Amino acid sequence: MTGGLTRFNIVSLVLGFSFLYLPIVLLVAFSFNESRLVTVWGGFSTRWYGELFRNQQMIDAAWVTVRVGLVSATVATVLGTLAAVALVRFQRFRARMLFTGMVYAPLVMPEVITGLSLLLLFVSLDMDRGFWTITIAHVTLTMCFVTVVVQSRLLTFDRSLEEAALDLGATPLRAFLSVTLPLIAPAVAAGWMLAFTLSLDDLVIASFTSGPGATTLPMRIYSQARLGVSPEINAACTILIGVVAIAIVMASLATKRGLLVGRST
Amino acid sequence: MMGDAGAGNAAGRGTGRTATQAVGSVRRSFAPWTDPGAKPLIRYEKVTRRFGDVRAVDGVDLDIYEREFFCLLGPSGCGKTTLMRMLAGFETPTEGRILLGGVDLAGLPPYRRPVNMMFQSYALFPHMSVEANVAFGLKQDGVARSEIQDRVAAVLKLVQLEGYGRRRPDQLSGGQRQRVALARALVKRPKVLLLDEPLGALDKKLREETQFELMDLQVELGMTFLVVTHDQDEAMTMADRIAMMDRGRIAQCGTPAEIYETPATRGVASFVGDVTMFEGVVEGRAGSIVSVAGEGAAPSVLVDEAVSGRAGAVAVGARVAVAVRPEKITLAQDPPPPGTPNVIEGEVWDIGYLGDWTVYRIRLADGAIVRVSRANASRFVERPITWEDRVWIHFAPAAGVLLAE
Amino acid sequence: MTRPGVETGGRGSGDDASRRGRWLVVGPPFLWLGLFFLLPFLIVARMSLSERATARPPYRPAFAWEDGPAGWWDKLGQLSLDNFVSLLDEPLYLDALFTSLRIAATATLILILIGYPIAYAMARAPGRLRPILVTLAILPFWTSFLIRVYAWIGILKPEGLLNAALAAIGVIDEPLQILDTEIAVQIGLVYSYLPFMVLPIYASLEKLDGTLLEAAQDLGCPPWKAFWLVTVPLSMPGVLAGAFLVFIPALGEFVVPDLLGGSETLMIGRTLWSEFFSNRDWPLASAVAIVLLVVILGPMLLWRAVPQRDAEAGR
Repeated sequence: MTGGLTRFNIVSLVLGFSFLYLPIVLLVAFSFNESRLVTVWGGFSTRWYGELFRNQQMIDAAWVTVRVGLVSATVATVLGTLAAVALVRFQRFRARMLFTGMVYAPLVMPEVITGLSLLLLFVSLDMDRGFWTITIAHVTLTMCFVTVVVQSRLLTFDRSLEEAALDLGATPLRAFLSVTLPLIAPAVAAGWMLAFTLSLDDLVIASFTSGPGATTLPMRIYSQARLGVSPEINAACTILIGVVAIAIVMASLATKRGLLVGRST
Repeated sequence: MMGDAGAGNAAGRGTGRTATQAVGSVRRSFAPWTDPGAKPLIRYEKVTRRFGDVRAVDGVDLDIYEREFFCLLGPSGCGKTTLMRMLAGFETPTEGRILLGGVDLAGLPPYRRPVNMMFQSYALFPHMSVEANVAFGLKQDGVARSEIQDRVAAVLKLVQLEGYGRRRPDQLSGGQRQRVALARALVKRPKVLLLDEPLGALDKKLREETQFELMDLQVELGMTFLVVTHDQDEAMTMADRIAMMDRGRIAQCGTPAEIYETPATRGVASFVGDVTMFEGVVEGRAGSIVSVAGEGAAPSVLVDEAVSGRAGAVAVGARVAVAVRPEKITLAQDPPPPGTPNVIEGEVWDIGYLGDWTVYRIRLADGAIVRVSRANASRFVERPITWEDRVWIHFAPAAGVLLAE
Repeated sequence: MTRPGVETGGRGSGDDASRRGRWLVVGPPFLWLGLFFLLPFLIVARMSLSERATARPPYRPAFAWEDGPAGWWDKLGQLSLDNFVSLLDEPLYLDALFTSLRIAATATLILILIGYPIAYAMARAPGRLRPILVTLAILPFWTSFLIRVYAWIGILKPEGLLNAALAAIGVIDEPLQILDTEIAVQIGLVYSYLPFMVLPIYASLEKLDGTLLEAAQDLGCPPWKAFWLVTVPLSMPGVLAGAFLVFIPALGEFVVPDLLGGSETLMIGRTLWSEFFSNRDWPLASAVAIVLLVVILGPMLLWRAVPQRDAEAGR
């Protein structure tokens, strides 16, 4: 679709994007507010960041969150990529229907139900709840997103490239490692990023599956947010936003460079 | 066309003759399929491939001999690609078996088969340089690094891509990419080189040039080529033999001249070249001359069934068609002398001027259209034929082919 | 040419090695999902049929492997639909369900009205601007959902920024009570899910062939009419996709109503949470979960039917 922007279009864009970004901008801005009151600007200060870094509970929670994120995103990327390959490449196998259902269902399942059912599982298996149960839960939730991302790349992937590798004597495994994987690597990386941020964000499932000693940052932020707004949480949120923003910038730079290598002239 | 020194190396076969001589002499005498004692390199035995209810390939028997340039020709969906992919190992026959050098290929995965394929899309690995693409197959076989380098260099020279080794596929033109794909498949010295629509992505001029290059290369390397194509000109130009496929079966297998001059079925006659079919019923025969009666206003024609070597194949009363090529029909502006066989009167309906040839569409009394072509040998024509002219067409009984199917 | 794309699974079907290779690919994700998705779900289903008393934590499983078939048969008699009956008896749960449906539906409607003009403007923007706009629309998705909802508390609360701003320009004298009302929940949902509505609509509008509109005008259709007769129908798949993407998660939403809705907005996700954590009635909570799933399954089945229709219409 083409055509110039009318005044109405411009107004929609400006209002729409202001609505999307203003709350985040305000949140970030007020994390640098000297005053404890949200509505009063007391001057620029990094004092809440200082307090945040002295808050051992917050630091611990952040550390748990990052560890859960790294482990679960990595496992989810491996499992999710395998599932995507299975869905795209193997058109017919026993229990394909069940498999497809299980892959897509977590995408639409309300988080409360996923969390609740996993908790019941861990209780009946008599597992100690903590770091590992959260990690398992996050793998289950995020691998499906990885699958969707990788699958969409595999669907546009020229199958004859793989056949050419087989034809030239590569075993299926080597064909996958030397031809398919390098070519779908950007999608796999994007899948990992998505899994990591989802894990970083998750409150509901983590709340159900965590135990004593394993509190994630969203859980900490949530329990404080219920008590009201505090500049310290604003500071924590700002750091989280910053980390994600840096990761996204780095990822997009990496894929851009990847593209340049792929088709430099 | 191709460098002869490099070619000899890559094939592991030295020859003192120049490329042109080699092509001529080899082509002239090469006909192993006429020798009953010759052993085929590739043998399809009653091969069927079903996809659900569809028989993509239906009971195919086919022998292909060593050093043959063989074309599978046919319209889309005729099963030719499936037939070839079964040889490469990408499809499994539902029934029957495929032998290569007398060995059954069943159960052998693609990566263990001594055949290589040039893909229609070329399937060049976009993340690898030209060199890495060509070296890929040798690396899988664990060939020593120095040998890989030598062989890659030799084959790149063979396809005239010296100096392009460091480029990536997307930095090459279409023709260059085609050569890389060819080099990549050649470098492993396969027993059979499979080419899936090898020239399909090239423009017309380049395609014609490349056809001859491929032919020279094949003779130079002494390799067996199996080509899939839907382009009849391509098949006719390049192939020693053509198998014309139709709905999963082989309609006819033979040299280009056999396919064109004596098509076995209506399908073959109309797919390869232009043709006019005179439909009718066999009325009687005198020696090898069969008379076919047209129904209603349709003309009756005489045809010499000895031409096709299938004498006596049709009984009196059978419904048949007589296929006549446009260049074998004579076009006259005056009635031909009495006693001329197969004279039919008509009206010029359309004229297509093609430069070297002019194609006339002549409308007969029953409304049927006959295609006649005339070479424009002379620059000046006294009485040019024009639209709505009354004309007479005639052809010798030996010009037509009697088709029962 | 026979290019049997659908049949690629046929390759080497008789081959043991390739079959083993396949299970190495399918196996790990399959087992993982079976153990951590399917099995837990079955446990919830079983739990929803257990008696409250026996299931009070630490609960006794309704079925246990060591019971053997005879024991299972015995237990089968103890299964009860009591939990589901009590859902009907207590208006709390039904209310929560209907409130959820109403709020999710309203939010979806508002999102269509807000999202369509934005997506439309994005699609009409000059080519080099579009990738930037798309990135801008996607970016909030990468920032934490919780944080984005939390940000609104500071804006909406009585002494918050919105009231301060409105008071400053003299629109209001007294602060409005927005936080802890349904309006706040609606704002939160609309805000959180806006990208999910904008992006699918944008995708369908962007694909739209500009010459179609030119053809409509060439055939005598004024621009506004061409919009209604060509653009809107052709972007319906995007609108539907957006609606489903928004409606289903909104239905089970927990964070938004919990942080912005106060105690008076009871949505089903929240009910489930509190039933589980506060009342600790696990069988009842499981029954609520099952009901919620059934409610979601309805639109899901509809959704499955939609793409097929589109594919046919596209042909």
